[in-house]
Amino acid sequence: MSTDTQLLPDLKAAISIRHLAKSFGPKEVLKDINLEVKEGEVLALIGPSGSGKSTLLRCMNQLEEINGGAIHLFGSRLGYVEKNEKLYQLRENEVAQQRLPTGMVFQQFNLFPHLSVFENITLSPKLNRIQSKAEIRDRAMYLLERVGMLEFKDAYPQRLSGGQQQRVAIARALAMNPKVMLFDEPTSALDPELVGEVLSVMQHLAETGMTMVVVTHEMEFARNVCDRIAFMEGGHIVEIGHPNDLLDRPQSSRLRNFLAHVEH
Amino acid sequence: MNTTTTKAPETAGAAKLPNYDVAGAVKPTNWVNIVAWVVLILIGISAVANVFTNPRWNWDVVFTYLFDEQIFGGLGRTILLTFAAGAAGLVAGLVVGLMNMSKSPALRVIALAYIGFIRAIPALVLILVLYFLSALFPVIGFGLPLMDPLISVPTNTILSQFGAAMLGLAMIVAGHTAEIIRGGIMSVAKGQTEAARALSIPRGQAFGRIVLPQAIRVTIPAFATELITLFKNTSLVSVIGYAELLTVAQNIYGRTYETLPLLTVACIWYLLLTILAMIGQSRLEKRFGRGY
Repeated sequence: MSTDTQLLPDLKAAISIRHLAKSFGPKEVLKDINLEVKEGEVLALIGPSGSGKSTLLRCMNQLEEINGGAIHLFGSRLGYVEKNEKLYQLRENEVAQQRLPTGMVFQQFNLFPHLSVFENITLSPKLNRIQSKAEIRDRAMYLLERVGMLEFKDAYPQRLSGGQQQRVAIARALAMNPKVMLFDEPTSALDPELVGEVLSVMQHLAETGMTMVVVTHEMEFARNVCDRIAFMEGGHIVEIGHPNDLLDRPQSSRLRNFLAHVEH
Repeated sequence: MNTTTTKAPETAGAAKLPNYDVAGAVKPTNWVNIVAWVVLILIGISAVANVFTNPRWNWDVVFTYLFDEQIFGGLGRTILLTFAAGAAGLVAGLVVGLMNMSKSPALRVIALAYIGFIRAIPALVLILVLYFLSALFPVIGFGLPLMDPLISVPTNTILSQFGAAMLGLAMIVAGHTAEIIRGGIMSVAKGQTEAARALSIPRGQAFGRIVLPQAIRVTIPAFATELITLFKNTSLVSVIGYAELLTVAQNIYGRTYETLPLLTVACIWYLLLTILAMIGQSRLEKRFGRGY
């Protein structure tokens, strides 16, 4: 850890990623990723499919094991602990504790079909005992109100439209009081007319100062809501910067190519 | 669409137009269904007629023994055996099924060997072997290999008629259950476990609260079949003389030679209890089908 090429992690950032490498078998999907997400920042990850953006997001809450480098979340190292100059991999229950500050929203919603909307939202807070029962209940009601789903609290997920399910999934993630929210293509599985309701919930969330990382194909959302955009291709972050710079003045031919494909 | 197209135009003098409304249309005749009904009715009539006119059914004998005390005793032991072997088999099967899906290769080998063993041995043979196991191992001891056992029990104390019957049936249920459970768990979408992990739900609780309820829903028909099969397979233990329903019926007709009436008695009880089990199954399916 002393060579000149090694960057030190930024322990003040919400998320700090250094020299991250990830492969699936022989296939390298992430190569030497370095990235900071500051507290309160909203970062969009864009790029063609297979570029590694979803994998990068999933590494941030340890749904994937990394093969090299380090990820720090609010200054603490994810997945490993250093003792006597040796690195030890954490057990699954310790990893679960490390995931508490991150909430995740999936492309396919992944609501629990056998539980009502209300039970979906309160299950993990109850099992993890993060608050008293009354507080968990009140917070669930407040969140359902915020995503406009209060009237459906006793419905089962499969009776709901995709947009409604995704709003419940956002409320479910927020119920754990996360400090960072990760969104994995949250609108890609939705019918076009339902995309807006989910994006508007996410925009309101961004306005409250939530730290967010969003894998998305919604360029308007990336431009208007996000503080920065990272463009990925082939397992690298090719460009990263302010939305207007990135979208209007792309530096690389690869980004120009990508934008030409998505904007028409 | 234009709604006026569903009404016949009322233009004066126009010829009457053909029917636009499909509600009154004649459907094609379902000949297969008609033939099936006719066959069903004919078979029904002859069956009922036979039941009433064929004196060799000996219905008076059937009704004498249907509520006979010995038969009730046998029925009770059949039910006891079903519940005991079923409960033990389901629990053991869940354990074997989970071992089979474990990350530990050693546990997987044990599970696979067990499932293979159960598949290979006929139920009747397994029950007989267990009952006569004392000929091979007169004493069962618990302890470390090649050392004096800490506890030892004569084999016949554990593998009595009931013990051998229950253990044999439970072992078979466990082998089948392990595979049913594995299939059920594999049917639950991977996203469910991922969502649970992302929500920091501890692994055991994620399994018990999220994966298992969804797996049970799809496996209820297979489990119901398994338990009904077990209920009827209890009749196999008549070979070792445990006095369940069939053994009792056999004992009676061994004395009276009223073979078919007593087998009819046994069949009637097997049928009634199977119907009860099927009602239970449909209730369970409703209970675990919430949200679908």
